[in-house]
Amino acid sequence: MHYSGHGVLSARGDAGELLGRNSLWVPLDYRSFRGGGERGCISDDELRRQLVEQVPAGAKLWVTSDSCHSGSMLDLRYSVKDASGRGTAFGAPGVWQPDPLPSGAAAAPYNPANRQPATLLTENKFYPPTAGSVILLSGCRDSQTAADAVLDNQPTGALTWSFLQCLRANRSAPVKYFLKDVRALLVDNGFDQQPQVSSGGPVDVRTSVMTLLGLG
Amino acid sequence: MYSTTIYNVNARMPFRFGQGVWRRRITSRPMPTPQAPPPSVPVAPPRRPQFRALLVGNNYVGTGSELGGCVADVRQTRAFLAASVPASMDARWYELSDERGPHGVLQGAQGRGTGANILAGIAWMLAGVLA
Repeated sequence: MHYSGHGVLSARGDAGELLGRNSLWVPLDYRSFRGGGERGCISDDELRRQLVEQVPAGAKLWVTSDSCHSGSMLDLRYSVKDASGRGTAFGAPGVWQPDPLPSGAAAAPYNPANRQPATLLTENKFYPPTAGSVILLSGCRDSQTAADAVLDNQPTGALTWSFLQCLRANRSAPVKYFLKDVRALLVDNGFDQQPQVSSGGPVDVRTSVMTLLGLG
Repeated sequence: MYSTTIYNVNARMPFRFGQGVWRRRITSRPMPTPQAPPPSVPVAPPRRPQFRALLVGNNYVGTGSELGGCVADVRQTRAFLAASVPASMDARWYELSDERGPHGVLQGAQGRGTGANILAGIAWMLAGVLA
């Protein structure tokens, strides 16, 4: 599933939200829509109930949420930490810094061969693991906004542009490399948003691969 | 000398040992009456792996908070998936979007990204997997 559109934070949140605020998708008819769980919007609690928990064992779901404040859009148990080890998809505030480059390479453009994997999983024990394989790629942290941009002379969401570039270049990259590539492309193009990957079940970020058919 | 005797015995046998004996016994039995073949049960072909994609792109045309790239995101993602999903899979799409067109607001193949449509799309996606 792919969602591109506005995302907002709710004034309230379930006990698992580190920011204390639910993430919401904003449908077109947010002024009149009721039934998404919250105030005209579709809340992450509702998505968890209607989508995440309905995925049976053996099925794979990959959701991409190119929207603001969508780090914990599906309220999943595990999230991949930043390379810096600071913060999680759930939105602990902090300024992410790209890994320091070796001296002399500071001005060099991004090169996938130079990437340094250093990611771990964070566990949010409030959310139970899911039956099926559910993975979320979101455009930014809960505390950040995701950019609507013009790249390659095309209007596009920055995350969508970046992750499609990465998937075209590599159909099945291990999660940690995939996330690093997606982030590095955004950093190179001047975006400060930090895409997040979270998962319903434990995932070995070194061996599990992101494919368009889900987590492999 | 022994070998000569054995050859003679073989030469006098009216049929070869082995299959001929059994063939004769079998053909002497009454033939079974022909039976109608069992009715053929239609066997469902093995179900192909199911692929369902729900694509939502909301540009919020005509509002104060209009976005530019969301419908294009859906188009790009759709094109990438269509080119990449294996042909052995049963792949289907569900597109919800809005876009400023030359003659008004265009919408995706399955409608606009309203709340009810998004939830219906989620149900459609799950139904394809659970069926």
